[in-house]
Amino acid sequence: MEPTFFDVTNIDGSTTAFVLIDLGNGNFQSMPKSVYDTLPSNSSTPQAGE
Amino acid sequence: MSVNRHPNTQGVTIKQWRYTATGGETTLSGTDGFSQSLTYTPGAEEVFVNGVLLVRGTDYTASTGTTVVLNNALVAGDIATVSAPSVFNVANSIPSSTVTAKGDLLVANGSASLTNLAVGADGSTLVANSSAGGGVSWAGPQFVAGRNKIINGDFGIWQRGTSFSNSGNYTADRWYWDSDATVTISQQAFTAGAAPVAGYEAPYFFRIAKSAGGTYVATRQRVEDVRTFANQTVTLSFWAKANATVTINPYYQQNFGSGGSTTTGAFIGSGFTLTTSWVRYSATVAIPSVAGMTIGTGSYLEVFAGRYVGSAATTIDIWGVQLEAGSVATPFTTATGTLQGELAACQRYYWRTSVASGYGLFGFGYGTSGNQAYVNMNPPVTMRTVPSSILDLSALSTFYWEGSAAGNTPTSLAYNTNSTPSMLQVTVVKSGSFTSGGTCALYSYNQAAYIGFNAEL
Repeated sequence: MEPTFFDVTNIDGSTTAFVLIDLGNGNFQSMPKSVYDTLPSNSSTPQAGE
Repeated sequence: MSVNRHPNTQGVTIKQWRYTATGGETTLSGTDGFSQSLTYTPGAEEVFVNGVLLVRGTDYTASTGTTVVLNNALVAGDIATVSAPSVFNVANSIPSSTVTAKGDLLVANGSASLTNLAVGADGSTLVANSSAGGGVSWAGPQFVAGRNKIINGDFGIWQRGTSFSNSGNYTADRWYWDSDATVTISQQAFTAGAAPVAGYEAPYFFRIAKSAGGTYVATRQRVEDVRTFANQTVTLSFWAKANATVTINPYYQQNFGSGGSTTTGAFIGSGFTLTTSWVRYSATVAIPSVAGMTIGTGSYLEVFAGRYVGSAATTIDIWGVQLEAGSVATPFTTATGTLQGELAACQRYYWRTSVASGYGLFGFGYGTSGNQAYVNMNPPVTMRTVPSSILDLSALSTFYWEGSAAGNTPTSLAYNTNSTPSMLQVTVVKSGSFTSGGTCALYSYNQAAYIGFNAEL
């Protein structure tokens, strides 16, 4: 499933772009698009391995 | 005839054996004319003939304790005298044979009476015990909270689920794994009564099932603050088994946090060769001092417990991971010693709120526009830091909201930066469904629904 992008309005009136990612098995992750853009292309999660 | 040279004190008595020769005797033995039997301690005797002290080894031989052989035969009328000190015991001395093994203790079992208390098991504690013969006894194992710095070392808490196959993720609480191979991490249940340590009946253990290929699989836990155990000798211990003989190599790292000094690390022990049966393994390592280091935010001591390097397919089971000060692996306990304490310790780093059964409420909030609302959720414990902006979520179809319009599935849920470590907020997005300042509730009828907040190191 392709990521779903959406905007939320912050309490100060500014807007932040978010993305919803389907990890499979009924698990999803929601994160700012700015975080999503930093992920390696082959990673479905934000946690880097050791 | 006996003579006590110190008649007023306990001590040595000198026994004199006296014999009048008939002539030709070269051996002295038996009973003298005073009904005194000849006995002596070889080397301590004195032999006289007619009052002249003979020279041992030159004039006579005395080696049996009951006979003396003279080099020159006696003549009739000679008076032979053997003077021998008695064997004596020093009053109130303790024979060294009372203790029989390393660690044995001498304890009183009554007035002026001592007995041996055999050494206790490793890590056991000496306690007063009026029922014991010696008044004290070894008690153990003692499950002492706070000694183990590994949280969820018994793998009892699994907020995120029970089976994982995406590398680079958390599994059982606080336990992270990664690999370049196909691996499944899973919760496994002990058969009741089969947990590997007496006195600790654990429900679950941790399984690493690695397929052939790749080069490694590692599970690790980060212990908050690099100052932990700095400049101390520590002992890592755990129980483990595998589907076949396999060697794992635990490792540690000192990470000095953002802006801190360079990470350092070393192996803990020289590798453990696992077998197909549960065995407790332990190794000691000296953690370096942090003197002279720069410690930034988010520093930690990282322990790689189940760390296998190789391409073989292998299944490794681990339980009871403990990291403690000192050079002895003491009886296992969890970090907090209680189920609720261990859950709270885990929730400092990750909290997942879900629907237990039927209707479940996640939180109340307020609309900030017609299209979205902020919903507040109180974590059960203050989290380590403001959680990550990444939310773990179940499918949006599992959520419902109630606002100014009829309840429905939200378009999206997002982390709200107003969150603090003790008050979390989620933005619920649904076009045309809220009123600015109006009340909103986020809830679910679906037991699969969950929201997870991450404040891991």
